[in-house]
Amino acid sequence: MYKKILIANRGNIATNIIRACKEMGIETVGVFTDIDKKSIHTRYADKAYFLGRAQYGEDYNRIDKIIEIAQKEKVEAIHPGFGFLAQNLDFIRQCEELKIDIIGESFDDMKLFTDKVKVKSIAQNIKIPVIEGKVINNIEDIKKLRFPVLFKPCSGYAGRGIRYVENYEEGVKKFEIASKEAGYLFNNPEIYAEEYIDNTYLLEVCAVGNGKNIVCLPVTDSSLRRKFQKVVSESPAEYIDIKIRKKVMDYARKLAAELKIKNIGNFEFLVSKKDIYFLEFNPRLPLAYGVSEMLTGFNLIKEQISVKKEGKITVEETALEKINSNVFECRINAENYFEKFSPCSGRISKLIIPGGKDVRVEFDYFNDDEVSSHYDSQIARIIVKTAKRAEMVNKIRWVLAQTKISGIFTTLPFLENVVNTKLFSEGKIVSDFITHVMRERRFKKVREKEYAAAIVGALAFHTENEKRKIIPRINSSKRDFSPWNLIGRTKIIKKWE
Amino acid sequence: MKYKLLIDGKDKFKLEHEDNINVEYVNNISVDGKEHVVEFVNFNSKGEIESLFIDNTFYDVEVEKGSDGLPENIILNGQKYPIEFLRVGHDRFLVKQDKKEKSGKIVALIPGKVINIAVKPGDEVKEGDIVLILEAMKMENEIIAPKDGVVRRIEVSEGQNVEKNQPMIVID
Repeated sequence: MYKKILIANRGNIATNIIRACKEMGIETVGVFTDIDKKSIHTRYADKAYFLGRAQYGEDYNRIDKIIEIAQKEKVEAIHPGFGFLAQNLDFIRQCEELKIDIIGESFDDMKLFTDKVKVKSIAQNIKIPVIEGKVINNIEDIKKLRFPVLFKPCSGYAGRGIRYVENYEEGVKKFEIASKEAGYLFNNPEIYAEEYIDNTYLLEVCAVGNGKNIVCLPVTDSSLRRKFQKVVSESPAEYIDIKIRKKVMDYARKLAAELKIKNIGNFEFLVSKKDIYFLEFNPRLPLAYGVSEMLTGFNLIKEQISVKKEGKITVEETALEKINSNVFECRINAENYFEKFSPCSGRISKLIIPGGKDVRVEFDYFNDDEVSSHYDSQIARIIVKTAKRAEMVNKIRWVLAQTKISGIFTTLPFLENVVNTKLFSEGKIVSDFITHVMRERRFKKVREKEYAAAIVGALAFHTENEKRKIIPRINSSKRDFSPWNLIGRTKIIKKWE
Repeated sequence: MKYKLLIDGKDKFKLEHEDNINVEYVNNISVDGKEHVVEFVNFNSKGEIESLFIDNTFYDVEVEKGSDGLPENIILNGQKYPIEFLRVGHDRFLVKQDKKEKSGKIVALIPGKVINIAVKPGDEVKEGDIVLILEAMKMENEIIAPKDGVVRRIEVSEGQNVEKNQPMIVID
């Protein structure tokens, strides 16, 4: 086994890689920026090196610095996690030349796997239905499309740089911006158009391969997304017909075998009422790996490391067949859902974390920590497991109600709304849930909370009032109170002070 | 005391409570005509409510005040509810400030990095057009024109980091 691994990532994923290494007796080297000086991953690593000032993600993408640290520490392997350098071909090539293992696919494979349009055509060749991706080179190409479509970067991942395009005019308008952005984000300005299909489930299958064998983990449903990024995941999604789930797994297994994957990858499918389409393949640890881990009991990061080093798959298909539980994960982001999920940085003033049996809670922050706008807005993941799905629904409702984060806007109220809908308890949340259903925000739960907020607001007003003693008691005078008077008075008082 | 207030800029509530609220005892407060029982648990050192029971359910609260000293955000069990008082008292309505004419000055609402400027000085833009893309928190945030007009000045360049409230583009 490896003796020492460098973790070229931050936040929760870096922390979990360190945890996996600790279990395997591997020494860890971490990297950090000024903003992450006291982050969990910096504290947990055996050694941690300073990368420089935070630069909106560019810092953790500094290939030269990371390789320099790797050589200095004589690490045998680098785990890039997901995001940042995980799918960066330059980085993988340079590491291979220096004989440093990358925990993930090798350069040649990665080069093929990150070409989204090519992988689609491979899938098509082995008779897996796909939603075709048409590379857009100029305005002429846009004319030929059937709208609505999504513009996606050819080398993209993590839901970034994707644009919904309603018609031709919009396509012309957005083409240049989309291409420029793809170039900025993924060093490849090429974009492709993909037909947009309403009312679909987004099902994922995580596959482990070693070039010979393939093991597929149960289907995960990640249909609910905001801004094309997943916010909740559930497995094994028992509300979806078992025949469909089996078929999705068969397709994933077939494609994984065809691609000869040699580590972990995630296959995404769109499922409408009657059709299944292969959407894309991401040659890295899936974002919802925690769900698969909780469900199967296997540690997927350890799996990645042992597959890379020893070519050994420890996940057993027979164990997967015996699974009899339901797992749900939600990710909490520092965003204001009242304002179209606009990102919201700031200081966390109070944090109350839930617990209990089969509750996995991973917070990336402590009390008084600053959530910076330089990185991902994710601040926590909460995963719950129960035998019966109905109980799982109750459990996540209760767990979210016990979670408290003060100081910044978070998506907690949004998530609470989601898990309290009838659609969620019936397993009917599909891709357009946010756009169609969230428009009506009158959920019973929110209404109750708003009553409470209104009460607190009035009482706060009252206590403020009492404290200042500016207004005569109403029962002694008929005069009414206007906050504008109060402001005026305060100003005068301040002047006298 | 009577209140009329807005939560989240949309949902209107009418409240009423006795003028002499006693923090030691149980108090009644009506919301949209329905009575609720409120019992205080504790206050912080500044005398602000920290927790209370409403209809026998426990709530952790925090009150954020605006520059005018009035409650601006209510944080209930860690979730923020923006609040706005429309009227306080028996019959007098607050005079709502005339909505200022929409400013054409676009400032960064969050620190970030400008990754794309979609307009140049002299361009005509319509309200809602994308003028700039600001990367923050691993998201591409589309900044749109707040009103119709002509792009007068662009005060940032692509690749530049911006601070919160830094002016970026002026449209008029």
